[in-house]
Amino acid sequence: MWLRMHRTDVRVVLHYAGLFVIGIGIAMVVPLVTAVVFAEWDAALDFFLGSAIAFAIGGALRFAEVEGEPVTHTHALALTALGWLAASLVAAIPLALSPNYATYLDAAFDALSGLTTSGLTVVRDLDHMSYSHNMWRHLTHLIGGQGIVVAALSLAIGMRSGAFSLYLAEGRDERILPNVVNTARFIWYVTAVYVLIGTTALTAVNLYLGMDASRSVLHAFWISIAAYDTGGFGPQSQNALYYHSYLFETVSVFLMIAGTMNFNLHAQVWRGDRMELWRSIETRVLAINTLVLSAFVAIGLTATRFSGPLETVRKGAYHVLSAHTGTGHQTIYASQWSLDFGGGALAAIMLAMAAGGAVSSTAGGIKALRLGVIVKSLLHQVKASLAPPSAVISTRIHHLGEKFLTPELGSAAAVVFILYVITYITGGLIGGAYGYSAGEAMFESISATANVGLSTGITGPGMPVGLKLVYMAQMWAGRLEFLAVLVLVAQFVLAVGPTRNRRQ
Amino acid sequence: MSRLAAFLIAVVLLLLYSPAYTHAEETLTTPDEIIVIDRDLDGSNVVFVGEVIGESLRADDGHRWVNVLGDSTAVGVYVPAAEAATVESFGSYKRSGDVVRVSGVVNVVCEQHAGEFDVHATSFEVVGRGEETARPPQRWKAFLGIGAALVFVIEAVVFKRFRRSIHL
Repeated sequence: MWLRMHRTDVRVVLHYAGLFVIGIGIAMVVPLVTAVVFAEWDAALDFFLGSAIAFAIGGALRFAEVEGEPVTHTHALALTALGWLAASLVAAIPLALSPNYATYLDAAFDALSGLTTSGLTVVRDLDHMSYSHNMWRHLTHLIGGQGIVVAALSLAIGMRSGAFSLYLAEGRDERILPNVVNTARFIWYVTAVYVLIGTTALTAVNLYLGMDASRSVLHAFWISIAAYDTGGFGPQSQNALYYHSYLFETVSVFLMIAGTMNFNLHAQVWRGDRMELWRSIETRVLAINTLVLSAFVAIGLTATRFSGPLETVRKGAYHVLSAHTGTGHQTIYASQWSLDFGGGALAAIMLAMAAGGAVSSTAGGIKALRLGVIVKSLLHQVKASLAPPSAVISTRIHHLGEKFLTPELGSAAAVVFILYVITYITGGLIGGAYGYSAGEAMFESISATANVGLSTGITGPGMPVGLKLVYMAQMWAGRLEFLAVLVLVAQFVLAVGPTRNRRQ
Repeated sequence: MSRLAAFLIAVVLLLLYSPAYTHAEETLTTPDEIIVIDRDLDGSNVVFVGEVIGESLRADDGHRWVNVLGDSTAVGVYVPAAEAATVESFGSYKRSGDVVRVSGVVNVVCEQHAGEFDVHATSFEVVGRGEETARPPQRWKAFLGIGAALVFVIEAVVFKRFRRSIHL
């Protein structure tokens, strides 16, 4: 039996989606100010127009308000999926007005990629992009990394009813503080601290490299956002390779690792419980995976040009971390993945991307907690099979305290794992059908679904329109961990499908 | 497209009239060809022309990094600081960068720089000066923006009255 959303439910969803859209319009003030400060007058008009359109669309959607109607769990899921889509389409407007995007679809691709912190890009002539458009591209990482719903909740824009459902619908698993609005504000507080540390450190690095003061600060701010929010955009076409600097890469790795950690774990550590960092199943899975995959990459690279120890660390381990944390910053060219990196190392990078970071972080992918739970469940099954029939076997995991591994926990992790794997493979098959090699198509598909952003070069302004739409769907579904998107699709099918399937 | 075509024609003309064209040991190429296509160029001497972007960045041993843009991406060129200082304009939103002719050795995995993909310049010459890029504000954006803002103001006023009428 399926519960179909009625007109009132649709109005609730549209009303709150309108608030999200207005929120995006407000956020456009930051690049607008940037444009004015740097006298980029045509770019300033792009943001003035973009913001005004966002306000007009959001203002119209507010009329759908139903007085006194609470936000239910189903509303929250549908609203989150629709809200992210609506926010991306509106965020794309100023990008589409710039000369750096050939079509509105390309701008929407980058806006969605930015908000989902994927970092795949179809931008043209990035090296001549305005500061304000660069500011907006990176700001989408900041908004999306923390979550559009989290942003709305932290401003408490009239969403207190059903706030926790909305918070969960955005792919977050647990609240950090008793009050969900305070949880949202805490997430922003943690982010502000890391972005400030990153900006300060990278500004110093950039000044040392010889950049002028304003470019030093801007580049430092953008890269700090992109690394901490595990986004991966960069202000230059060479991405992190532009800087040719060990120091730069070291600071960005620190930010990537901080960004991929669970916000709850940040809270525990900040409260003084540093041992939680070592006890947590997520940290252990991330550490083991990173070490094992780095070893695989090192072995894989011995058969390539990158055979020296320095090359292995700087080009091998760096990209394992970039992939595993879901960031996607690159210090090699896209073509080098297939031409110079070698099959073994490439496969290890794909596994790192697929695995992803921690739950309740800015990272995407299957997530370390789920992988830990699945492995523990497997071991539990083996132990149970070997034990005498009368024995009671229990397995515990440490995730924000000791917990017993229940069948429900195991099956929930397995379901999400399977959904990710199916999407990785489906995207890979579609890429293959467009004529790309199997390895490259799979790499790009995993990168899109796990919101990583590393690219073999398939993603670009010239890629087929169909593939752009497929990767957009993968980035969207992957960021919201499928459930919200599946609910929205199911509601749409029920709305347009045969009436016998509907419950009136 | 016309800018791109003009740039490509300029590149071809510069290369044709370049003394390096007749040099037997150097291969005429482009940054994109070095990066995306031809791995046979690894370790060989190449000559290419491109636009300098961003700024020159500190490198080791009295050198600077200068990123030279091709059609779609840029390649890092390792240049003696004195030669890098001859660049006056770096490509950005407001300016096109100086066009330089680089002669140098391609390193797909540079041993000196821990695996960087770079070109170590043996000769670095500015062959065209960059200039300001005109980006005049387009009025239609301002008019449309004012129109959309007015729509929002009307919506806000009507919405306020609509809400008040419900509460009465």
